Amino acid sequence: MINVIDEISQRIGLGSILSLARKKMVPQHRHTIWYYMGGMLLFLLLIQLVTGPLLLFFYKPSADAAYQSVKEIMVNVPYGWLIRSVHHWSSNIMIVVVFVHFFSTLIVKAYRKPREITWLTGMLMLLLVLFLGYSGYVLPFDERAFFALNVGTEIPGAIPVVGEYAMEFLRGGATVGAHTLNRFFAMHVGILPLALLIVIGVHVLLVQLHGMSVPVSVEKEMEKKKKKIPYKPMFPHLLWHDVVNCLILLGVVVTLAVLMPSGLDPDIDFLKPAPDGVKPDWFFLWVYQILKWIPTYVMGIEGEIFGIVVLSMAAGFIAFVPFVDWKSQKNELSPIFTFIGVISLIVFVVCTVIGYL
Amino acid sequence: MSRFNIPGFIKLFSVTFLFLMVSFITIGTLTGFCTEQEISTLEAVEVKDDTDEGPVEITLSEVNNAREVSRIRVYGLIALWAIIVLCVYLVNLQRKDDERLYQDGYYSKDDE
Repeated sequence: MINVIDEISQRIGLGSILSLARKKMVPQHRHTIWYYMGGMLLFLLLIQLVTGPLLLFFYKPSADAAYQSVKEIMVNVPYGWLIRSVHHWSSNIMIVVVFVHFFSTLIVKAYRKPREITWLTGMLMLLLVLFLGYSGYVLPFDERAFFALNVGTEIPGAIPVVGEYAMEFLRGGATVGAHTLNRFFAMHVGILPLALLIVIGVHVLLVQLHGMSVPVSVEKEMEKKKKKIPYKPMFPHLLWHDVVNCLILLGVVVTLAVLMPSGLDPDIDFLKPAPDGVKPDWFFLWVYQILKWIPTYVMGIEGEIFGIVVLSMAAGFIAFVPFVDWKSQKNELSPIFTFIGVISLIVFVVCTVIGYL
Repeated sequence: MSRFNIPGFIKLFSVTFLFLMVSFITIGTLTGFCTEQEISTLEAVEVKDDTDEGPVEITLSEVNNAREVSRIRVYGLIALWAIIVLCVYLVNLQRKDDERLYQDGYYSKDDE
C-alpha cells in the first residue's frame, strides 16, 4: 500500500508539489487568524459545488414548476431537505466569511503593494458571491422570491442612463415573470459559478505568488523589538489548521441545516399587492436600510437614484483604496484608512441589524 | 517511514473513513434509517384515464412536517459531531507529529 502511494506520487509529481508547499512559509503573529478565511471559503464553495448539482437533478427551472419542484425536494426526495438546507446555510456562511475576509483585509491593509490586483479580484469575488446568493434566494419562486425579485431588480433600475436596460435585462421583460426566473437560473448555475471559479483561480494564484501579507503594525512592532517575524511552513502547519477549521465548519453548517432547515413561503399570487415591509435577503439589508433613510428628494435628485450613486461611489472608492492609501504603500501606518475600514464595518453591521429589526 | 510521511496521512484518513462508515451503518441499522428507502422501479408506461387526478399537490404543511427536527435527526447530528471531534483529535496528532518532524529538520533534509 505504502509503495503504491510512493509510486503514484512519483508519477504525478506529488513530491515536488509537497516540497513546494513546504518551502511556502506563513508568518505567525496576532493577525494569523485572518489567513484561515481563504481556506474556509474554498471549503464552503466546495460544499456549494457538491450540493448544487444534487439539487439540480430535481429542480425544474420554469415558472409553473419551480415552486412545486422545491416542495418535492423538501418532501419526496430522500435527504432533499438536508441537501437544500446545507446548500442554503453554506451559502449564507460563505457570504459571512467573504465579508469577514473583506473587512479583515481592508483593516489590516493586506492590499498593499504588490497585492493591489489580488484585492481587486477579491472585490470581484465579493460581488459575485453576493449575486450568487441573491440569484439562489429567488429560485424557489415563492411569494418571498417574487417580491425580492421586484425589489431587487428595481435597484439597478435606479442607476442613471443604463438603469432601465439593466432592469429589463435582469427581468427578461418589463415586469417580473417566467423569463426572470430563467435568467436568474442561468446566472445562478452557469455564468456566476464559472466566473467565480475563474476569479478564485486568479486570486489564489496571486496569493501564492505574493505570499501572505504581514500588517504594517506587526512589522513595526517586530522592528522595535529587533526581532524577526516567525514563519511556519504552509504544509503541514497551515494545511492541518485548515482541515480542522473545515471540519468544524461542516459541523456548524449541518447543525444549522438540521435545526433550522430552509423553509418555503406560499405560492406566488401575481395579483396580490406587495405586503408592507418587504425586505431583501440579509446580505443586502444594509443597502436597503441606507436607501430607506434617504429622503424622497435630495438636492432635487430622486432619493433612490441619489442613494445608488453615493453607494456606488463608496464601493468604487473602497475598490481603489490600494491606489490612494499612499502611506500603506510606503509601509507606514495610515490611521485614516484604518478608520475608514472600521467605519465601513460599523455601518455595514449596524445597518444590517437595523434593517433586520 | 516513507519519503513524504504519507503513511501517517493515509492512516489518519483510513481510520476516519472506517469510523465514519461504521457509525453511519450502526446508527442507520439501530434506528431503521437504512430501511426507510426501499428499492423501487420506475413505471415504464403511464396509463391515464378520466379518473386520473394528475400529480398530487404537496401542501405547505407537508413541507413544514419535512422540516421538523425529529429524534433521528438529532441522533445523526450527535454522530456527526462525534466523528468531527475524533477527526479533529486525529488531525491534531498528525499536526504535532509533522511539526516535530519539521523541527527535527526532517523536511529540510527531504528537500535537499
